[in-house]
Amino acid sequence: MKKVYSIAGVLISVEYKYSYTQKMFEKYEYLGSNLPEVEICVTDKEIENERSQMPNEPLFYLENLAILRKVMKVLLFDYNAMLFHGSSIKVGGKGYVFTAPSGTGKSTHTSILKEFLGDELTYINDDKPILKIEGDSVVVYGSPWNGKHCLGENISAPLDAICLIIRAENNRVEKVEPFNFLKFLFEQSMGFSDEETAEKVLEILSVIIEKIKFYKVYCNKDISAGKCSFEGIMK
Amino acid sequence: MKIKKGFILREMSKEEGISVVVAVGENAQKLNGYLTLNESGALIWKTLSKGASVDEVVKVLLDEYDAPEDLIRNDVLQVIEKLREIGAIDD
Repeated sequence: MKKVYSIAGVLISVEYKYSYTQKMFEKYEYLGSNLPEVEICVTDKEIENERSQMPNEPLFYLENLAILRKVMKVLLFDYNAMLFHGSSIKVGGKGYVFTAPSGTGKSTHTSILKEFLGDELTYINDDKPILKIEGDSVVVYGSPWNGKHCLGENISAPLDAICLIIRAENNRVEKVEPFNFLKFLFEQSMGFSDEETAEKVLEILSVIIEKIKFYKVYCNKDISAGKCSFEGIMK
Repeated sequence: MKIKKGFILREMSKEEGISVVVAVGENAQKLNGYLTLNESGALIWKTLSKGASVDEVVKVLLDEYDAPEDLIRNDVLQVIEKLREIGAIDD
């Protein structure tokens, strides 16, 4: 099977054998008449390569991994777009990413914001959005990796801020300098596997640092945490 | 003394003069795999990565900055110590 998808605003034709990939990319299918800019198909060798790292996974899953690896490589090197670990939302036309080490409660915090803001808030992606440099600005896009609750759409928004969640008794928001934030940006960027990739990810991060705002969000799990975040960051 | 393979330097802000050294590949799995450097720190890294000795690095910095030699030497040794902490130095 071969279908065209629009991922991070790029038309990508993807060839695959198993329906797993089709299901995962469902929301990203492109039905317009423009031709794809990129063609992705994976070889048996590339699938075997995935198997060597994950010997017990079924073939459909390995094919999917190989496809995703190729898609993200093209997006990174040719379109200045990278995956970033965090829960991303759109409020008032702007994009926000909430990040933290695994288990801190990124999704919990954005779900509290959702409860507080209702229809004013749309999920872009609950787990791994794509951050892309477009001209002079940074744009956050949904991606097919949308977390265990499958919250996310194929939408985008200009990225306004990246917010680090820190568990605390009392809610407060603190604006911080990006250079106090590098450790978290590196940890959540998932791209230091080789020198070439690391160079490119750092290049993108150096633009992001310059363009957007950074906050530390000290918060508990009450609905008041949503109000505090909204008023301190989005209002 | 040599800088290990698998670490890269990248300028993150020209305006602020901030660069970082990050670990890639296998080194990236280890803890504390990154370091922030100012302009002189970045120059120290660049000179070390060409295989220079401490004395040679001090000389390069003396040419570049108007500061007393003992201050510069102190700075160089401090940066080397930080690089050692992130495992970027082979003795």
